[in-house]
Amino acid sequence: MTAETLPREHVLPEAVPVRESQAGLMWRRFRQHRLAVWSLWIVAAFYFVALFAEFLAPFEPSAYNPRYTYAAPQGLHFSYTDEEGSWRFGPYVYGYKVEIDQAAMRRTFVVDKEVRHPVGFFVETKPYHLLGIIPMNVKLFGPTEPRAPLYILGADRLGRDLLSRLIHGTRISLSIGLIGVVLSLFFGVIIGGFSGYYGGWFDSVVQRVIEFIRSLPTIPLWLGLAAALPRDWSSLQIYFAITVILSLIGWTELARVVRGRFLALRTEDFVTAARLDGASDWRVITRHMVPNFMSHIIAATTLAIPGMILAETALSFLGLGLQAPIVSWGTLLQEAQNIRTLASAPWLLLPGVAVVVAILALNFLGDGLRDAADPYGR
Amino acid sequence: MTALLSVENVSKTFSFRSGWFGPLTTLDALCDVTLSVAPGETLAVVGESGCGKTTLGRSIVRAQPVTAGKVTYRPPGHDPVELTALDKRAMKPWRRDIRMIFQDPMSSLNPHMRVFDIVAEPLRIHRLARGQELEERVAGVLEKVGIPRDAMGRYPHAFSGGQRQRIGIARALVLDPKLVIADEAVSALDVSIQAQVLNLLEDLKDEFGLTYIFISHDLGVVNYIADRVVVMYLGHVVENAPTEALFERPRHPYTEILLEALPIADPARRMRRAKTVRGEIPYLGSRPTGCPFHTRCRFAEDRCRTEKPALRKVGETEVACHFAETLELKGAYGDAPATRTFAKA
Repeated sequence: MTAETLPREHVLPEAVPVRESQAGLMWRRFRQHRLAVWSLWIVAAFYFVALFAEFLAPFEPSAYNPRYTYAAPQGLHFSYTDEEGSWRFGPYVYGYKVEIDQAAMRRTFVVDKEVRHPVGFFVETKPYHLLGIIPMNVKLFGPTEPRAPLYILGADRLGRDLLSRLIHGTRISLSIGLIGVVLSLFFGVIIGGFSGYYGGWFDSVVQRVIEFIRSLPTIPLWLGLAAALPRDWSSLQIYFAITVILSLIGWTELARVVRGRFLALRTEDFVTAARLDGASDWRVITRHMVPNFMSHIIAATTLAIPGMILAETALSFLGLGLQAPIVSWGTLLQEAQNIRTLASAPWLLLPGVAVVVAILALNFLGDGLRDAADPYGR
Repeated sequence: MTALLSVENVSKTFSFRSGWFGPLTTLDALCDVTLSVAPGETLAVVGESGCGKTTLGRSIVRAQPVTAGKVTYRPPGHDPVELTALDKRAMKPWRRDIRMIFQDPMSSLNPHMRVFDIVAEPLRIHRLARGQELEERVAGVLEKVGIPRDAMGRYPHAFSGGQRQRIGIARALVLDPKLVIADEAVSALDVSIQAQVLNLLEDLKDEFGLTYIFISHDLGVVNYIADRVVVMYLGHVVENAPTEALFERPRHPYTEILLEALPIADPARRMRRAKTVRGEIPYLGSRPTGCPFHTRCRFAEDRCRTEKPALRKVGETEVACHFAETLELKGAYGDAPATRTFAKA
């Protein structure tokens, strides 16, 4: 039989979408995973908040007001009836009145429904720099009366606005996860790649080192390393030192994933075919192997971010990670360490809710990506 | 006629340790293999799984180094090249002449590359064509194997097994090779598709003046396509004969067993067939002494257990058996009685 006599209908399968790319296939599969799609939006929202923290937060994270310590959350309201009894629309918060708790002999703030403080959008404040570079003097929202209290999620022991601190903490906590993972990825891919592609004694040594690192109990190790950081370092230096410490463990996981993929692909026929084509090692790796596990790497990376965030939170909670004045979810939760605070100001646990939501969303997103990464189900 | 490629006394030993401090185990995949293929010939290499036929193919294309021996390639109009002595860089130009077709069409095509890029890859690596010329060459060779030009932009998963195998063939042929090594090239395909691909290989052979080394375990396929057959057992060449001669009058008891395993369409004849095969293929790590086949051979004697038979010429056939001249073995067609006659008492 010659080429010309091959029946054409046998040559061309119908009903197959023409030229669908790998990314297209992955996206189609990803969209079927509803939870992952929702998680993608949530994660995107978190990173949006992290990026525009200065604009979104009504106050500086360090702005305090001793008149409103442990003020309860006001909540944000949108409609009310005014003195004439007609219905009005416009955002506002209630004011506070002080009550003396006779049993505890303490001042407590209760929401006073008699007083309304209007809240405005795009209110002018003192000038600040968005992302530290773009000069701005407008916030997304804020009190229109300069001295009115605005504690939508309540205040902490110094009368600082929890919402503003949470928004600023999001930036630190999420970026530490991201930077830590990028560092881990860098070491993981290079070390794991060499280990998997060349194998031999180097592979054995690397695997034993990874096993050793992973057998160390992480919390004491982190504690030790964090405690060893010089006291006189600036908070920025501490921040980077903590990311490095976190990725010191983090790279091992990614190195294993990369090595595993290299080992699996190294013996695949299409890799042998590329080598027999005369392709260099570099070409074989970059053109034939990496595209085949890029999606796995992306998924593994996404799944590694929550671990980083949790580790940072744990370290900071224990007082050995980031230090005030840096605001992260972990340092915020430090405020909620004792039972008395929890009893009188339970809203200080809200950063914990943010941690849970972010971790879950990242995990679901990672799961969705991992499932979508194998569109052929090979 | 001088051989296009000759394999002389090639051995390949794999050695590995079980665990870090475990004993070093060696496994001889190829033992002193000698064969050659003439220009324009189709040489089949057959044998059970684990007999070393794939290792042989991979050693010829230098997918792995050999332990001993040499592989010599004699390109027309050029001095002979000893492939086994070349380093990676020196080997590269000869990779254009010696190409490989893989067994599994599912794993031999990169799922992340379009068919065009898969077939164009060798041309790009060897910087033989670019732009419009590259596209024409790729489209041309794809049309030769029956893949239309407008399917070039698709990914391999959009094709059936037979189509993928033809894409693999196109990738091998795009460099205008002289010698193509087809490692179980049709084993993974349906029987009807097998015939289609075999016919395609035959046609392409005539058109491009190719020489094939066809590695297979399927004697039916081999009978169809091969001019000459090399039978391997446990890394040894046990018989090397023209296809007709081998099927009509096998000289080695192992070849007889292989032929006996051929499916017979006629049930009456199938019933009469004597079952002579016995035993399992020994583990390569614990190779028998003497003749490698003596543990399963029904004619084995003391001599076979101690003395390893050399490959020698008997008629048209090269065979490694002490009793090759005296054995009367059944071929694939006749029902010749399987008896042994003694020349001397």
